[in-house]
Amino acid sequence: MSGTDSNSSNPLGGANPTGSPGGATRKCTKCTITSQTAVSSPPDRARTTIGVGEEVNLTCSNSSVAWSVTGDAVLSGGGASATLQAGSTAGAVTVTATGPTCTCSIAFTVIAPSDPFMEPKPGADLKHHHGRPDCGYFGKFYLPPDTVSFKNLEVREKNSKCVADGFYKNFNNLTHQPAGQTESAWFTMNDCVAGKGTLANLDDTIYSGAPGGAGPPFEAGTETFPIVWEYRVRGGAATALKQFEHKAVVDAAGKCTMTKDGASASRVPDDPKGEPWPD
Amino acid sequence: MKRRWLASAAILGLALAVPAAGQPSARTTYLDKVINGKHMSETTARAAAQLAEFEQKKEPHCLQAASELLETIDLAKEADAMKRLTLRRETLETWLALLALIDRNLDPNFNPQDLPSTGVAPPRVGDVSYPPGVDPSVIADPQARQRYEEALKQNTRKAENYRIQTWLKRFDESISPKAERFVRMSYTTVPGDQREVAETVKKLIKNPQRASALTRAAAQKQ
Repeated sequence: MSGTDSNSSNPLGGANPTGSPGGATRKCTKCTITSQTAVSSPPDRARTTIGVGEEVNLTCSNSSVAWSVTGDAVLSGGGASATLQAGSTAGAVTVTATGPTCTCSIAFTVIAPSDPFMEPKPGADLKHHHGRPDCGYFGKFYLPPDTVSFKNLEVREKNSKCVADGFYKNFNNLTHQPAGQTESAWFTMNDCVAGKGTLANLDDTIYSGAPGGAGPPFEAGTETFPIVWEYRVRGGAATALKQFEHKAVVDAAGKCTMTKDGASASRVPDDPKGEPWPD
Repeated sequence: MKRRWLASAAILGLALAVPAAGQPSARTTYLDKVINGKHMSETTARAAAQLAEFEQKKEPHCLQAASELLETIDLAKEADAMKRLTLRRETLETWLALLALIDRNLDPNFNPQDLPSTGVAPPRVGDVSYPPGVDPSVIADPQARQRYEEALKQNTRKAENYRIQTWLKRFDESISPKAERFVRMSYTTVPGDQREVAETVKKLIKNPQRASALTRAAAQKQ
């Protein structure tokens, strides 16, 4: 994407937008900023809509310019090229290159992740113990939309407390992480996947568990953990993403259905043990 | 005389054993000197402070912050020729210290396909299986609890290491060309300039591929 030349857009008009009043008129040299996103996925690298934390390489046609930026972003480099990194907040960012005779600028729209979602890890077996009403899987975590990259973000899961009844009543008030812990470690992000969003570098261990008790019939029950994930840019402050649920439901026949933000899987007690999950 | 030898040795980048009364010997390397020593330039001093913070906390974004500070240095803006030479040397040393820290902390055996997990499923005891991540205190069996506690610790270590290695690899790819560009743009082919680059590389860079790339950058002119 190329930015605009103030020669044509300067509201003051004239051919010398930076010329000194009353001085000799200097012909304005044309100035253009070209941008290319640092990552190659999504494939449109000339786009000016970018994700929070995303990096863009900028080149000015005039090599002798001073770079400046407005909006939540960091600009580094100098001479004919600079690197822009969007900050942690969505909004408008404008980069300006000011040379001896001309000024040109380029505008970006920075967007934050929309609602995250999970899907079962492709090719991985479901977790299940033969004869027990339990189920689980490894989940993959995505940050949409797929039109920008969130590769420079980090994400983490907050601790939470279980609300459980029926078959799972012994799990009521269990925590999702050890009791003294408020959140998980930070996880890095990977490339943007078309149709999904930016993939996190993690396997989410999603499993219902199963309290003791013989069956079938089993007592129907539900186990729910409210789940909040957060993201951050450059080690800065954490921003919460939309809350979703880790939910396990078991019926009288022992059919277990495990759901976590869009990803779901079921098992009945007679299903074979899931491998290679350890006991 | 002894003091003069110590100063010379430090300049040559030798690892020094400096015994202090009642204290164990401390080893001071040229890298330590660049990171923790005095700088004429406030900007290189701030960049070095970021490197020192990285050494202390292993927070990779400190390296990014140091790189961005070094990129703001414009040698041409320093009017005093002697100060400009000092600024150039300090900037070179700080860039190379940054690269040396990347090399020292990058794990050549790191496998990015071996992903960390958000949580660990506790071991099954009898017919009871708990959901992943629960507090170890809920597991009654002491051996199973101990195994679970150890698995939790390992998982946290793995996640933290994965994060550090991922950023180090990314920063290595993005920062190295910037450091080489500084060398290429700031040093001429005159013998004195070439010698300063070669000696500083020798003092700070242990990675032969990196040393070669930097000395090549010094010899190449646009």
